Amino acid sequence: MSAVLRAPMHAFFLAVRALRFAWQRNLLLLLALSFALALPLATRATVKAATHELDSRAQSTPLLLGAAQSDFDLVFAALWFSPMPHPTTTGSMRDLALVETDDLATAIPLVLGSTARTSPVVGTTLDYLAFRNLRFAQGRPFALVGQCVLGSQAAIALNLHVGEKVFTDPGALTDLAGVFPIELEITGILATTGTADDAAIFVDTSTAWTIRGVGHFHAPPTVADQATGRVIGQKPDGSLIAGEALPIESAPTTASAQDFHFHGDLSDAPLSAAIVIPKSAKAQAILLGRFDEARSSDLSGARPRLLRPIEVSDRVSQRIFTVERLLDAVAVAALIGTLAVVLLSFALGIKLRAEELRVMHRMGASRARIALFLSTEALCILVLASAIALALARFASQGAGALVAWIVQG
Amino acid sequence: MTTLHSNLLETTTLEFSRPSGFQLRVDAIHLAAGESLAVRGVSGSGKSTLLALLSGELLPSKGEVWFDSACVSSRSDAFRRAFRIRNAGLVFQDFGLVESLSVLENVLLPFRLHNTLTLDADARDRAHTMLGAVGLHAKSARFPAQLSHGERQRTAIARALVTGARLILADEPTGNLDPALKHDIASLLRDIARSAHAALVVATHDESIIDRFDRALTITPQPAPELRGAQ
Repeated sequence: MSAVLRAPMHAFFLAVRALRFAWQRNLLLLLALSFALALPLATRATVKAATHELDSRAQSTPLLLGAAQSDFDLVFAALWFSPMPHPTTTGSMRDLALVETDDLATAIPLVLGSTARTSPVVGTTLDYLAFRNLRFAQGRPFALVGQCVLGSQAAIALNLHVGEKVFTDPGALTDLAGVFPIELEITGILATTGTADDAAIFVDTSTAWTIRGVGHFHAPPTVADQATGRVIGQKPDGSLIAGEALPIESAPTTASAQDFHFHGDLSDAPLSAAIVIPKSAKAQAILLGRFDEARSSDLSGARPRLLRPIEVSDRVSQRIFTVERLLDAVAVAALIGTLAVVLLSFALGIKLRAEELRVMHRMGASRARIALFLSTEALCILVLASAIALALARFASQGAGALVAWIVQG
Repeated sequence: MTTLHSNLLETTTLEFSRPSGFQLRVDAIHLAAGESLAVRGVSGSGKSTLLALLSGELLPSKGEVWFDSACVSSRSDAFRRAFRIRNAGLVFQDFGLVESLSVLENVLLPFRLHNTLTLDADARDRAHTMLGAVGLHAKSARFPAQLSHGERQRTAIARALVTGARLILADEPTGNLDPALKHDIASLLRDIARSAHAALVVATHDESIIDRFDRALTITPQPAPELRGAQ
């Protein structure tokens, strides 16, 4: 061992021995300091990860069309599939035509609001999977009404596999005209993306509308069903008029899927939101201008809105940063308090060992050497506490997804 | 100083005073290698101060301390610290052991306190030898709290000698021991000093152990200056 390293090595040896000797006290100091250091680090790491997650999701969505009254509600529902607090304000498929005129943009519809065993069911088209670059870990995309694709986390949480089936959740039990459960066949499971898509169940818009009662399946009626009241008449063209007794099925069969149909005009089918992908920056500017102008001239507020999700996400991030600054101030105060207690405890520990240190000095150790011994002890605690704090902060930052979920779920 | 320094430890008449009024005056000391000196006196008479003067921890206001033909009292603080760690083995009344270190680690402590000593295989061998000499080889892994008072003092003696010190300064080494142990420790100190050819100075107020040492020196409290003036 070189002479230069000899003193620090001896100091480290004595420090380890002293720390080990009073391990209970030192463990308490270590934990107190670790948590005090971890608090601001964890806050920063979590907020940074959460805002990154918010921004990256919003950044990847150029424009959103929707009728939700609140920008936040629309963005949270369309990007993170949070429940929409104002379901009555959803628009219709007719709104899509507003953005697709003049070939300025393409739109991907989103029909939201339903769940299957509490996982959000997202009605959309296969374009959504391509737009989000969602790849299949197993199986294939949905092709028929009544089929679905699971996000990776949804598959794990619900313990479901390709080929199995899952029922959608009923709406309010007292709402007889509301949502009825239907059985979805799982055709594929998506690869993990680390986004809200992992927790969702994707179906075709037709399936989503069926869940909401807009369309339905039933076995093809025959003339013989007139006896049971399932058919109440026949039109001049020969088609049968179904009666109330004709049962609606909860899942399409080979026969009933052929007779799957909607009542009314599909362009009036409900639409929660639409992802709008402008063809160019200029097209985006034109669209935004059109919608702003239309909304400002329409005092009823019934016009759908078109917005840039990143602007909403930035506002959310600013609010998070405000909370972060408040937490930082609290954490710094806690850190100062903890440091004061740690220093006091350390000083008392040294006082208890004053005789030992005096003996070392009398034996020939310089005051600098004794100071080195003590500072090495303090340094050991500080380094260990910092390492634990960093590990805790890293662990906490993995909860950023939960923070985002908490923010968007309200 | 006009002597030929044939002795290992020599001093002229030493004087030392503190601002508080404490006064110490000690006649010249001459100790050859292997010789032992008991310094006796009542509490507060200056026995511990004399040991601190001999080890170079304190500097006399008058007089000189010579060890092995080198004047210790005229040298720098750094030199005197190096002198203490290399040449002076200190034994304390309350043992002065580090509670967090084992017996063996306590004995090797001087090697961790100053860069003039190297903690190598020779040092470890020597530590084991010294522990064997004081009868503690089997307890080298124990901690001070697991030892009796006599064993603690023997650990302190092994530590004082592990560096090859040729000046052993023991401050009330039997002060905390049972009467039966006092004589054992006093004899052990004397015998080890002799076998190591070291000069031994023992400060004690215990008359019962004085006869264990070659010579004795009595220190009497010095009157404060104002009292001397009054006389």
